[in-house]
Amino acid sequence: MFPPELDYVRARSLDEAIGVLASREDAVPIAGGQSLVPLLKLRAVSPGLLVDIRGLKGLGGVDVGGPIRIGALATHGDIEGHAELRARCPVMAEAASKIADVQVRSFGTVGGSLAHADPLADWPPVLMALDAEVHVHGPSGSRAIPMGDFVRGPYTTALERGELVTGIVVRDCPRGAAYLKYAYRHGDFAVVAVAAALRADGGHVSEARLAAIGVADRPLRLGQAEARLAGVPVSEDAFADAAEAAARSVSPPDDHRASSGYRRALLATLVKRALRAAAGR
Amino acid sequence: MRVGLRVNGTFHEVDVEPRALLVHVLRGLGYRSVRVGCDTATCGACTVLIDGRPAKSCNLLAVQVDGAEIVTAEHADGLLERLRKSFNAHHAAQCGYCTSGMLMAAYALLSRRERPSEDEVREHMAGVLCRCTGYQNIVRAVVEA
Amino acid sequence: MRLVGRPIPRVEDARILRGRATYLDDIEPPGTLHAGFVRSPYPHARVLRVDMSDALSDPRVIAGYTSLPGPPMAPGGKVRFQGEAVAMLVAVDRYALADALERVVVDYEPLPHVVDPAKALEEGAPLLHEENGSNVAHTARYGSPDAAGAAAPRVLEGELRVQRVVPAAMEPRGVVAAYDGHTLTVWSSTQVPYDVRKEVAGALGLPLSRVRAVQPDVGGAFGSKLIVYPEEVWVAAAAYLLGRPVKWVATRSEDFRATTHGRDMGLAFRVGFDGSGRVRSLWGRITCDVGAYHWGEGLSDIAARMLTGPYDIREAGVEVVDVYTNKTPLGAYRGAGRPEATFFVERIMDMVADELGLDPVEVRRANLVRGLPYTNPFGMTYDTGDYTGTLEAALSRLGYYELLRWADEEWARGRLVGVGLSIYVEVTTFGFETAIVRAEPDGSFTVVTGTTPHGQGVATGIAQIVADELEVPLESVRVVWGDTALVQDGIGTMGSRSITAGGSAALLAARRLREGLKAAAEQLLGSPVQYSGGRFWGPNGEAQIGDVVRAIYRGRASGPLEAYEVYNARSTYPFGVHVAVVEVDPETGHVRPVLYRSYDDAGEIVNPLLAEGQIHGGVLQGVGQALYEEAVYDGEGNLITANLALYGVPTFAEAPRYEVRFAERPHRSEHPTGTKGVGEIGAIAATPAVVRAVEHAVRRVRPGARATSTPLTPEKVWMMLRP
Ligand SMILES: Cc1cc2nc3c(=O)[nH]c(=O)nc-3n(C[C@H](O)[C@H](O)[C@H](O)COP(=O)(O)OP(=O)(O)OC[C@H]3O[C@@H](n4cnc5c(N)ncnc54)[C@H](O)[C@@H]3O)c2cc1C
Ligand code: FES
Ligand code: FES
Repeated sequence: MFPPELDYVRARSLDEAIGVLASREDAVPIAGGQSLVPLLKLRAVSPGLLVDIRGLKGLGGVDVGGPIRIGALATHGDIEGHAELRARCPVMAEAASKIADVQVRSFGTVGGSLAHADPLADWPPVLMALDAEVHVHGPSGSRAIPMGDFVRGPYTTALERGELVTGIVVRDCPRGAAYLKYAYRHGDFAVVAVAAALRADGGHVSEARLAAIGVADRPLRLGQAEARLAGVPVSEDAFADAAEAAARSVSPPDDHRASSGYRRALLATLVKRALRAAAGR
Repeated sequence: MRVGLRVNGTFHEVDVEPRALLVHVLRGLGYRSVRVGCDTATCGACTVLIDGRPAKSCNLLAVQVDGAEIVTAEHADGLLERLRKSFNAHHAAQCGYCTSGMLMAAYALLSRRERPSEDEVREHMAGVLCRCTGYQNIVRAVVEA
Repeated sequence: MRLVGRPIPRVEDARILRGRATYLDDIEPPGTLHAGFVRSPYPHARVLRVDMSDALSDPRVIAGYTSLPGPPMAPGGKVRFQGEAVAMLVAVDRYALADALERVVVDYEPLPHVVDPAKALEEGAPLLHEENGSNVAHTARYGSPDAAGAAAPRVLEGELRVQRVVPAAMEPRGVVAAYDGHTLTVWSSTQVPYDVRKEVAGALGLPLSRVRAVQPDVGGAFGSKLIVYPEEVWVAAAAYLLGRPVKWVATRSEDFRATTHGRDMGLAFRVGFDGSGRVRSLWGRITCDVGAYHWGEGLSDIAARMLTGPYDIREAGVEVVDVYTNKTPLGAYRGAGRPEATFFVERIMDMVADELGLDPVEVRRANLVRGLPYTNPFGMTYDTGDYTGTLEAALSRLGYYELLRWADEEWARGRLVGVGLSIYVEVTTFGFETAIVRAEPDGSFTVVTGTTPHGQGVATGIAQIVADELEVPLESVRVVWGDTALVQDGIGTMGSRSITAGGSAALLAARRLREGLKAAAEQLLGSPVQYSGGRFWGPNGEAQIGDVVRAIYRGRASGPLEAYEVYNARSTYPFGVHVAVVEVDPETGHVRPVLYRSYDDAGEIVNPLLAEGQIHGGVLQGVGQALYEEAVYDGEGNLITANLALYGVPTFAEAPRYEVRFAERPHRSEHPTGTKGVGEIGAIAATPAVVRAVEHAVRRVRPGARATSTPLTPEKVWMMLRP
């Protein structure tokens, strides 16, 4: 409950933040602190220096003018409450509203969530299904990383030392998208959750993207299930077929929260329901 | 580090270690209504308003919110008084340990939504745990405040 | 107008709702030091060496101890559960303390451990207390030894289990102590300040007169704060030895391991019955996992002695075995034995009904006790009530059969809902309780109660009782408690006893004071007088009660200014019928509690608003027990649900809607208040009702499905639903 001794500096510019982070081995960025402060309280991490990026201008905000651009510092609450975004890409507001509770959503940021890469974080599967790009900026400049390549393992990402997430870009948010999260209690991390994005053309699936958490040590794109959906008529049978393919394609972890078999069954159910919900929008 | 906080309208400037949690700093300033019930940012007993938004003061370093406007359950204004009356009338507090957090979460909700439904109240306040009341009386108190 | 019986909002709320309540952590005398504990990561280990030198080299660290007056730390050089204290540090602030605790080096020799009570009973199991010769902490037998082999037309055998749960009061435990050279004051988040005082005085060899124990506002307890814990004595001892105030407040994760857990009982049973569902015999063996130390004595004995519940089962016998394992010690938790007994017997009734294809209500009706008082086979005498009559009233008030029909209709529409009913009789109240009613010079009254409320609203209830007895307004009566400087002895708030034992003591004290004041008024007025509404009158004139009191204070009349009453309260037995409704997701096994209705005959209800609140809270704890909560230990003896993020305390979103009713014509207890107590009813009745509701839903899909253990996690329900 009592963080270890540390130093703290409030970055005045992105470049200053990156400069400090790149030059000091023990420096760590802090955004909303909603994942980092719990680790500090447990003394699970002991950074020498916290570089606070929350005050940086230009890293927040939601812009739905062209492609959807969401600044790294946008909080889950900002995303949930953004009326235009909700109209344009309802699944993002839906996902945001399923994260933790209102208090955590007041401070927790999408950039922090991605960088933290908790295997059960809600943004990665949603952004994978939306084929989002993660924009990062570091000592050697800016780059965009496809969401599917961003998370490399539990708490591990494609970020290089000194790099910060600056935002995400969603070029294509189909209306037919849904996020289904199964948790034991309100506000809990998911046991299993599924994001689905679906487009149909003349009653046939023209595009389907599915991603899940809780069935591996990291978020997974459900390629085999997607393949089963390619070109088939939009129907309950197709959804059931995809659900079965999804369940067959994973070997979920077995722990005290849920057995492997139960997770697999949940995955099938949630794939089916997510597709149904997506098709209904 | 020097940190400035405006709490319930009163400005404080305090010297804090960078590692100090906001909840401890607020309690040190005498705002004892802000309570600690867990070490995982789960219980919400420490909920305060920071620049108008509900937040768990145990899950922020005080230095992160330098310059912020904070409201705690010691605050007095029309809305809080209404909530207090309603909590009393509906027997929404038992041991009282969660009550500050409940009041603050309710205050945040009612500040932006005049007449929330029961479901909205449950959804909005689910980040504050109560072990005594079973929640129903709190829901009623907020809906009918 | 009588105040008792009316839904009066609490007088306690004013401070709480302004953020001004004073919980333990709000107490910090100037110069307070902070104590913390080095705790074992191992479930069972020999402590070879504790090296505090590095920690003590920090100038912010004031002292370190591996022993202090009071119970031994790591008794016999061993730790027996994960989280057991091995050393205590005292530092200038909590951050420095946390730094220093990391610098204490302890060499442990891990020993083989056992967390499964069945394994703990096996030959060759690791022994927790070698001197005990086995891991059996206690055994007992109740009732008829022949019940095990009793002949009956039908026999059913099986095993049932109630899991281990964490009481998780929202305020963790803590203690502050300060010694001023003469008096040692100990503030503790406790239900038992009198015991704290005695233990501390005993450990330090001080007379009771020099130790004062104070119970500040307590943020919930549910039985988990009704023993004196070692930390309370050690912190007081350190404050005494150092001559400076010392405070310890548990972190939540620390509290999860260092505060007693609840329940954790299994039952092996054999029930004999006939074709009509009449139970002829019941034999049971209760195995209770008491954890590392036997701090929760008597829990399994209560469960055993209430095992036949409200049913008249003549041929009944129970064996009890309490077993040591390498877990946090077990203690009382809301209901303490009765929730387990009720879960067991209600499950058995449902199973008998299902075996015979009968309505579970019909089976219960066939077995209900008729004619009270009734002494059960284990010597418990149920005092008053009309169980069959109350059942019939409950069935109609609760709309039980309507709910069943509605569930059928919902199923026809594809929605899987279940309805479960439970009946209970439980035992509340024991021992003596103290009250002092004191007249203030203006004719208002202060009541000191020996009970130790911490959320129940007892101060409001007792104020109602005393105001009625003295015929003064509620505002004229203030109730205080929880300080041995105010009242030297009492038992406290536990076992649903406060309004009955404490309220009766207060009522009798008020009555005696009133009689005494009447005598004084007669002196003053020089004639016999009558009293009502705060006024004495007789042929020679009248006097307000305040005038009489003032006359005594000033020596113008002689009479009592206060009455001290000790009331010995025999046990009394509430009875009731509860119904739970849940919705089950047939694909995920997820259970959503939807509605909960209760109908209770708990004697007189002093304040329905507060009594309902008690039922709500208790029910949600019973729901948590049924569905969400469990203290899970892994094979290595780690408590893996060791904080509020990992342990399933229900939130707003999981709570059902409650509809609470009390019997229109309640059966009074023999006590002056006529009350029986309502504090634990919800936690006792809810678990079996919810479990049956889930089972009822699942049996539509899998007719043979049977729930035998809690919690019914979604995965367990999903397994039950599978072909
Ligand atoms: C009680 C509770 C419940 C929660 N439940 C959920 C849940 O159900 N689902 C869910 O998805 N999440 C949940 N979370 C996590 C929450 O969503 C966090 O807000 C989020 O994971 C981190 O955002 P943050 O801004 O607070 O990051 P911080 O805590 O500030 O930082 C997290 C990590 O990311 C790094 N970092 C932060 N910003 C950047 C950046 N821009 N570039 C590079 N690195 C950066 C930090 O160095 C740190 O390592 C929960 C948290 C709590 C406390
Ligand atoms: S203390 Fe529990 S959420 Fe802050
Ligand atoms: S009133 Fe006790 S925790 Fe809510």
